[in-house]
Amino acid sequence: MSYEARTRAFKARIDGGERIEATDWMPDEYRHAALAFIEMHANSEIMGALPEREWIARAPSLRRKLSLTSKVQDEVGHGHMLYRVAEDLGKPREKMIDDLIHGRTKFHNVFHYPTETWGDIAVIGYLIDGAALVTQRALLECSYAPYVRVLKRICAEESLHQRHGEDIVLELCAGSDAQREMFQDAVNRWWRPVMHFFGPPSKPDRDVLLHWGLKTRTNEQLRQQFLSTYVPKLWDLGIDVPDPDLAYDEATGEWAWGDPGWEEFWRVVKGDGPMTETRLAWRRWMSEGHGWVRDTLAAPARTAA
Amino acid sequence: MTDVQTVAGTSLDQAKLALLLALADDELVIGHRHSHWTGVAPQIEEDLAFSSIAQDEIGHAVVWYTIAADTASGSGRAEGASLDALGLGRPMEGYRNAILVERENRDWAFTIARQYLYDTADDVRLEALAGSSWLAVADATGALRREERYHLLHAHAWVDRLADGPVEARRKLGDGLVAAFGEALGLFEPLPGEEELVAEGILPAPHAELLQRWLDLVAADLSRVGLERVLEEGAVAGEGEMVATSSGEMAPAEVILAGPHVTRRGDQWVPVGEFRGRGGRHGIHSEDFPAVWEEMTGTYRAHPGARW
Repeated sequence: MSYEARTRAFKARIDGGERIEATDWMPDEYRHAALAFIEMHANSEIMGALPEREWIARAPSLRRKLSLTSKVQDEVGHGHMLYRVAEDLGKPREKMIDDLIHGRTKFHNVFHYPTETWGDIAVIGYLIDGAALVTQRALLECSYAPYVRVLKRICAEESLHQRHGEDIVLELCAGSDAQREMFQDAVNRWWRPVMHFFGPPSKPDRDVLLHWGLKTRTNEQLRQQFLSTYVPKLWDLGIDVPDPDLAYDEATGEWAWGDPGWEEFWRVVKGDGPMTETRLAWRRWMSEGHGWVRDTLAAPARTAA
Repeated sequence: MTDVQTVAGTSLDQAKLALLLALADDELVIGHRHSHWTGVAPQIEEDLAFSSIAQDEIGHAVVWYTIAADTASGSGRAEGASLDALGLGRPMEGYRNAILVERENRDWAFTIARQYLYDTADDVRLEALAGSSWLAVADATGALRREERYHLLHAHAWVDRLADGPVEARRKLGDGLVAAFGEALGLFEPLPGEEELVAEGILPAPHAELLQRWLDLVAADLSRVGLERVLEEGAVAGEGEMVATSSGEMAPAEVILAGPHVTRRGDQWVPVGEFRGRGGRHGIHSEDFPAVWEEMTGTYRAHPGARW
């Protein structure tokens, strides 16, 4: 069978709702798309630990210090599991981490921004983990089976994170004026990146990830689902959402939203966000300083003298 | 906030509090330092391991703070607010952790060296406290030691692996141990009111005796991996590095903690000389502590009375 014929048969399996295993034959186009997608997801879990970890040290209570450490640990654990899935598609983990810290591969737009106050931890835990949960639940329909298996566990943990975030939000909103303002200020700063999170509206017939069933929903479908869930909750809490054009259209059942500045989104995802270079430089510095640790682990073990 | 350290009480009450704060503050501050590795450890697996160890240690601090708060209030179970007041609400000189735990993480070798020296010392201390006449303290040691067992496994695995080479890893581990060793002795600085604690059976053995038990364990480990140079060099370096100057103006030069040395006597390594001056157990800290204190307590202190 020719490559083209095998590819057509492969595509027919996906269109018929079958799942692909790592040991199955797959066209290069599928392998590359799946690898890039899962690698970016793994990168984002690893880089996503950095903005939050800054507030482990500065957490306002012992209980929050413990829960945030545990939460960030989960995110790193997700990165760990996802790199293993990606490795099976043909790229070693060391290479993926090397590409990440040298800016050759991407990570999610929201992790390029600074975390200025404890309010930012509330936004990340509630809105960004909420957005991630919307996206990741949709990915449970993905055509690549090993990814789906890992996502099941990730979604279970993310649900807990999202409740952890909600708990922080409720405490801030029920707290002092300063605490409430802290959260409102963080929502104001983060709303644009949150809208960017889902990406700009895309043309479904030109989306390679949709073609291969790696994704099954469009950016806009996911954004609409997020807005329907979270905007009413924010309004209930008396928090303003900083988009004057945001409105629900009863007739279409869709949210209208204002231009969130897509030029900023494109700049950030290409690696020019406010914290991109700071965070990557630090990771590079930590990595280069510890090459000897990796060399030690790679060296064959001898018996101690 | 209620400052438990100024709550009136007998000298025994004060000594009991000094014991709990030493235990709790060691755990909180080392947990805080370990948590700095979250997200940036040299290997993802170690990122996960250090996050776990950090959570255990901070959790153990909460256990000790709870007993301290219950003792100070003379009543039932302490709640989050009073525990946070203890853990995050004291002035710098109120913290009673040993200087070793407040030191920066520096590099991986120092981190592993410190984790090893600290967790072996903590184990010696907990083993002794399991026999305490103070039942709340004796009871707490069981659950803590079950978790600490994994910390010891982690530390030993890394010490063995790095000592095993290559040459650079072995040298760095040795240097890290030398750098940490002198201040590790400070974990055994006698507590204010120690004689009374020992007399009451609350502290089943004086710190001088615990120090010897710990030294026996560490000397055996270092001998096994061929790093006895740590005992030779560390003891000398230790005295120089014991210099604990700045909890700002709180630490006049004459109160700095120093000594003892360790030396080999026959088959055994033994401490020589006494501790002189005062260190972490008296609230005297190193130049690394103000940054820890500021970072760890700043958010809490900025919002008096807030719930989080």
